Amino acid sequence: MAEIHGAFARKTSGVVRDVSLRDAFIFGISLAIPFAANFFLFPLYEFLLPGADWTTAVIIGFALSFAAYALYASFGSMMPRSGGDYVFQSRGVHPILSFLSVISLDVFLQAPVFLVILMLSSAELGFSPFLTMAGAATGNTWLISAGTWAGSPWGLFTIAVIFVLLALAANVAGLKWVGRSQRYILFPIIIISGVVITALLFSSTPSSFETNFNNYGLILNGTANTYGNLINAATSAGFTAPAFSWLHTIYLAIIIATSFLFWTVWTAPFFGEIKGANNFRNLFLTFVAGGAFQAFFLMIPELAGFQHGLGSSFLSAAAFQGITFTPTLSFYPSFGILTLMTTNNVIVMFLASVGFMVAGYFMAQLFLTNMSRYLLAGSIDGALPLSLSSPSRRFKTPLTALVLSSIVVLVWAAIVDFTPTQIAFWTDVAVWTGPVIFFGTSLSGILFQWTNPSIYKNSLIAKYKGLLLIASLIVFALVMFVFVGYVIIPELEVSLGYNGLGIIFGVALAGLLWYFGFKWYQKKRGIDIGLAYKEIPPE
Amino acid sequence: MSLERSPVKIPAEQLLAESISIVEAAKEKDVILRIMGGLAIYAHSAESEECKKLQLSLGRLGENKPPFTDLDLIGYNKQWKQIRDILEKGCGLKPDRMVNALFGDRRLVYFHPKSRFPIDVFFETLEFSHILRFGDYPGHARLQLDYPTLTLADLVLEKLQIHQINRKDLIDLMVLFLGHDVAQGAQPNAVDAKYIAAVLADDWGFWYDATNNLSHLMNLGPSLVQGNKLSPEQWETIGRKVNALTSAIEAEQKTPDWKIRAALGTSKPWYREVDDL
Repeated sequence: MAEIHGAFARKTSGVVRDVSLRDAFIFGISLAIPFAANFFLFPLYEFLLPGADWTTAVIIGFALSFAAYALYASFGSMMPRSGGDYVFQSRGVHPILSFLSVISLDVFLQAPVFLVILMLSSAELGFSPFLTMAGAATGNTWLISAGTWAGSPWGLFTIAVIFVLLALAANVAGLKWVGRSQRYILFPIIIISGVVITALLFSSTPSSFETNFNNYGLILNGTANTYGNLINAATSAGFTAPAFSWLHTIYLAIIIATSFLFWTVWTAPFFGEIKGANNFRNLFLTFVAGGAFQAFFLMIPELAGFQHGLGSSFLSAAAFQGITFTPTLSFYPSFGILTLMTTNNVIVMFLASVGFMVAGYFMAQLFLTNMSRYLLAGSIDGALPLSLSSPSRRFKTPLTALVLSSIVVLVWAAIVDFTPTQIAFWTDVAVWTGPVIFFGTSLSGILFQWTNPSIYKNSLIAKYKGLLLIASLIVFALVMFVFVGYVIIPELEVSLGYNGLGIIFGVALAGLLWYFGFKWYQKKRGIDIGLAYKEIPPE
Repeated sequence: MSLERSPVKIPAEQLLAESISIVEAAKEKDVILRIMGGLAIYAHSAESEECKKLQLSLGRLGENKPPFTDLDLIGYNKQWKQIRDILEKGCGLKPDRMVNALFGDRRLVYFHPKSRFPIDVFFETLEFSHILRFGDYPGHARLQLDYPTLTLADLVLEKLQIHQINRKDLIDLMVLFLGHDVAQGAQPNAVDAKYIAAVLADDWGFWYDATNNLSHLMNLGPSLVQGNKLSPEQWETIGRKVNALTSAIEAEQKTPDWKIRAALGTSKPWYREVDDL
């Protein structure tokens, strides 16, 4: 028999939320996109950080990520409100910081550019390799052409438009449907693809791969002994097989942590819609589980299998080729295409590729959710137009915010997809602006107990003395390492040039102009948004 | 703009008058809105001096006590736009923008412009520990069976669906049973036990919590009598009606779904977790 709880236990009419912490775990791992992690790690970091051990780097990166998990679980338990980082930074530091880092740089630059690159990687790791390899395995030239088209600017843009429109429809229908699609479609597909890829890579040996690579090279490249040619070309271009390097392993660990394993916390923008997101322990464990799943089920087995099945020296040479574009291969030696070369079975190829294919769509779905929640929170605070937080009369969801987010993504898709020679440049822009949001939130975590003592002291986090401060300091230090590292560490140098810096500072400046302009406009209408930040309770 | 939820600070009579004026404003535009929750029970019992006295003696009402946490209303989804217009433009209520944007498909939250107490508007279904459905067809479903509140049977079900029921809810039920008969069918000013039994006969989890809550009520009564907060005669009346309802629930033929779920019992969660907004 249920126990009778104290009188007036229920303070208000509550709500049963559709999204659970289990869904948050799935959201987290899908946003962290292990497939994209592999895409980014190989061949770029194989080339930039020769001698780094991926398995060790993932384990160290996972350990470092605990600080981010504790930071976001702390904020979640103190302010379980949709708007996530925007709310944390505006209440912990200053509204200008949150507007600059979350609305300007994230919603209008980093998130859409990164999403476009993720959708592009979905096409280049999923659609394009599968169609190309299926065509090569079956001798169907139409499929090979379709594979080439899927990797072309029009192919990439078409896939992006389809993904964004589907993701918009799912979000307009409501988070319940977004959650269900993640739970019943994405997660099983990730599991299937992860298992198939790992099995494929571990069943391969460097010698069997050499045979397969030469066979496929004959079809795709039109040359015999492609394997030997690649090694010889790389060697004559200055490539030498690298020795193990601790320094490069640690660099790689920090990049893996801040770029991928941290991201399991990116359900923060819709904490207000997650059941039990105000429970520190459960939220922290959800993030840890997401990070562990990604590290130990997806990244380590796949990356270790990649080294086992293809051979480290071949991979280093292929990375050298991929990055330096030494003209030996007519195809880009991506993780996806090299993995599929370990088999001749088209069904197995499909199962290995389908995870990459759907991952791009699910990224679109989740990025639109996040971007719209940031816009909604900004609108509720009065820093953005009211329409962005008004529910649609027909769909009863924040339609205007979702449509604006979709338009921003599609504009960037057109810019990025139709400038194929500039993709590395756009990736650098996204990589540079990516940690800005962690910078702002970790700064807020450092200052929060002094800037907002009433919320801090009344929260359960205050019980764990120093936890928020220590976790924030670690995240802050890692982010600063990445920023400084991009500039001063030659191996990590992400050269933005004046164009890249101009774009970042231009978007930031536009954000500042909007903030002060809109503040002035609101004041003319009798609304002091500065006061609104102080008056509005965090939840 | 998001505002803090503060309890109702105006007297119960004034709150009821405000609520009825909102329901009246909707009615003028052919829109169906009904009062639910504790205020609806208060409305049904307002004319009974005995019920009023009981509410005072049990501490449910009284000076310096917030009588209600909020005002709960319910309408039909098909009239969502009209309800929103009536509340925002007609009645001048202030929307909770965050809640309305994120949960607007099932709930709209407003604040009274002067007293700042919250007004929750539900649509067709109450989704808390268990689900209560009121139909989706304006004019032909359950909401228009009574006015200006939900029917007594629906008010009883609204309380019985609570998994973690509290003293305030049990007192509301006592007041309701003291002032109204339990009938085996739809009758004016009576609790339709047959309808309640039929709803519970199709949902084992709901049935389990509802029957537990009725047991809690039966356990609470004697202690209130002992503390002189409830007279033995009043308790006899309440107990008799609760027993009549319990008998009707027991007698009702259970559906196959109920029986299948009953076999699993409490080994699997039988209720939904309700969070604060």
